[in-house]
Amino acid sequence: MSYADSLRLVLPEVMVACGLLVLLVWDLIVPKRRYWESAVVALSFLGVAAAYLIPRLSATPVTVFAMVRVDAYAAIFQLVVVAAAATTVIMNVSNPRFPRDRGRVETQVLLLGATLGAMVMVGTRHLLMMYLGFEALSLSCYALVNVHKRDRAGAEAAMKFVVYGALSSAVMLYGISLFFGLGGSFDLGEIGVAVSRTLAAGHNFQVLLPTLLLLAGFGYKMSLVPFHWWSPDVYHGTTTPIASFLATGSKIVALATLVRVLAALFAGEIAGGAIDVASGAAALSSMVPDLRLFLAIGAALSMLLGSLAALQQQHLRRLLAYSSISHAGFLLAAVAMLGADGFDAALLYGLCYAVMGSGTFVAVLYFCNQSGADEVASLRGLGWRHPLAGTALVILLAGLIGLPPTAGFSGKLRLLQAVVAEGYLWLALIMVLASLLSAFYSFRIVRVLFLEDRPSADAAVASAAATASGASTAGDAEAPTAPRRLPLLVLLLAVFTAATLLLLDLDPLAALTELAVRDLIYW
Amino acid sequence: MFFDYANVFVFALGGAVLVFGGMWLGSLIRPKREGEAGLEPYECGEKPIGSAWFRFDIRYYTVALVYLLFAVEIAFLFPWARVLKEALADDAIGGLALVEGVVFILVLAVGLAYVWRKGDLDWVRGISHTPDDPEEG
Repeated sequence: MSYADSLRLVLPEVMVACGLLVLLVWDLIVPKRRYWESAVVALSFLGVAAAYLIPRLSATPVTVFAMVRVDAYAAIFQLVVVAAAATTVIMNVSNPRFPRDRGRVETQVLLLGATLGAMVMVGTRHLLMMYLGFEALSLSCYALVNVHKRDRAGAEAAMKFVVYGALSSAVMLYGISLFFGLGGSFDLGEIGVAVSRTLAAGHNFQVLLPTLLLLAGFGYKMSLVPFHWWSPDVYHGTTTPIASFLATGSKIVALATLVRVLAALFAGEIAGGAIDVASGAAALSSMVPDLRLFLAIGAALSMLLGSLAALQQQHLRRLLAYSSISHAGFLLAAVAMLGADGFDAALLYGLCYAVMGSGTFVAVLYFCNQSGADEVASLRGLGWRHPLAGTALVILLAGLIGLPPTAGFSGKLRLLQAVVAEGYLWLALIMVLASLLSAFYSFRIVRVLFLEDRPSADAAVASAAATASGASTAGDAEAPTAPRRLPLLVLLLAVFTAATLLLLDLDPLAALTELAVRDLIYW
Repeated sequence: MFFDYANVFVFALGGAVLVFGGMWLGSLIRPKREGEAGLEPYECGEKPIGSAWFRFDIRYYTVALVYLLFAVEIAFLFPWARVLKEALADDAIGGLALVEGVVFILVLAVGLAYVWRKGDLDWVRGISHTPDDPEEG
């Protein structure tokens, strides 16, 4: 492959970088800047990047410059982060806070920077390259959280984000340096070989320690217990669109990268059981069950703490932050099984969560626009005035709980299957328990939306009729205050709700991820 | 074998000549003003003695970042310049080597243009009152 051909394979990343530069220059030379214009520029570059990524879903994997890994796996999650960034851009257009802020072109620039970092992070087989992407994502996110001037809550959030981020990133870097010492290389494949050799020699601790250190970084990005402290404060302090990006794009890419790293590091251990039956039992190290237990405990704590803490939250984004901690626990539970099935289930549920989570944040932004506040209580009765959006939020929350007609159900089913298949019954029980708890806090939102403080009986009947027919927004016309029409948000909400319902049948998506994961383990 | 270390000594000597020679040259042409401020260790005007718990001017960080822009540029351009000639002769890479270097410099130039245009290169900005920042200051 010639040098120019190799460069062609990193075109999606180059496109995002170009968008970033164009926006920076445009910000300098165009005197009157309108936010939606910069949004259109950002969206078009993200669109071109996505167009380059889609054909890769069925392409054969290649490694470029011995660092960049171009495969279906990377493409899936690069598409996820591009979609998450695009969603955030569109949500920002409809965000009523800080309407005349000068920082808004910078929002797009930083968002594209975060996207670029995430794309690099998931599409590499080189640990330093991965760290570079990780830091680009983190640094952009720190600034995104407080992109608006004189926003004290945002400043506090960003400060906490930076301090925790610097700590866990440093710990992760230490883990990377230990792996370099172990394998004499930053290449994940070579480190995997060294890990097998070390484990075969019985030096379990030499592998366990750097793995756990590495997990600090990923745990932080995915907001897993005990690295979750920042996320409620940060989601609370920042704006809903940015919180949406942190909860979906950033989190899912971290999950995908974690799976790639674990699959490469323990390739010998994971494949050993399946392929090498004769020597497999002897080769399988006792370290894998240890690591499994560590991860399972982390997952259980995240699920329980997230669900329990969410019960008492009054602030919508804070509630969603705890819900997101709990979901990170669900994802880790399947990853903890350290096998192809577990990885596959976690990635599938990660994709489902990205859809449902983004949808929920869009719905929250929609209702915050109507009420002008971010509290759960401020949703009071809004479901009757906006029956369609209210119904959409109910569907999305049902998805987050894991109720049947949604993607959440089929996704959680696969998670449970993967966990039970490895004999971790207690973990499966905690997963069910956490889902039950999540039903309580989700139902609280539904109750406030629909059951408390009905409008007059006539209006309620009319709205109920409108909900039942599902055809018109008749409820809007009767609202006492003229609602703000936010066509883009409604469109987004419709897309995510439809996707949540359609993904009940996960098989088409599963075919895609299964191939991607197998390719990951047997590279 | 130890003679190879002569390189190190020559290098160190060259460094010393550059530093002290520069200072000597500067002393020839700069104006001489005696005074308290000129004798302080930090030319940036920070107090050298006292508690470290005070607020640093945010502009130090901006300037440090802009400095980093150039420091990193040099660090990356040295190896690039070193192999450029061979890369240009290589059929597989060819002119791309030059293009890549130029793209790299252009990206950094955008960064420089950005801080320049936004006024972050001016140390004395005063308290900036832009029309849409009525509350600032």
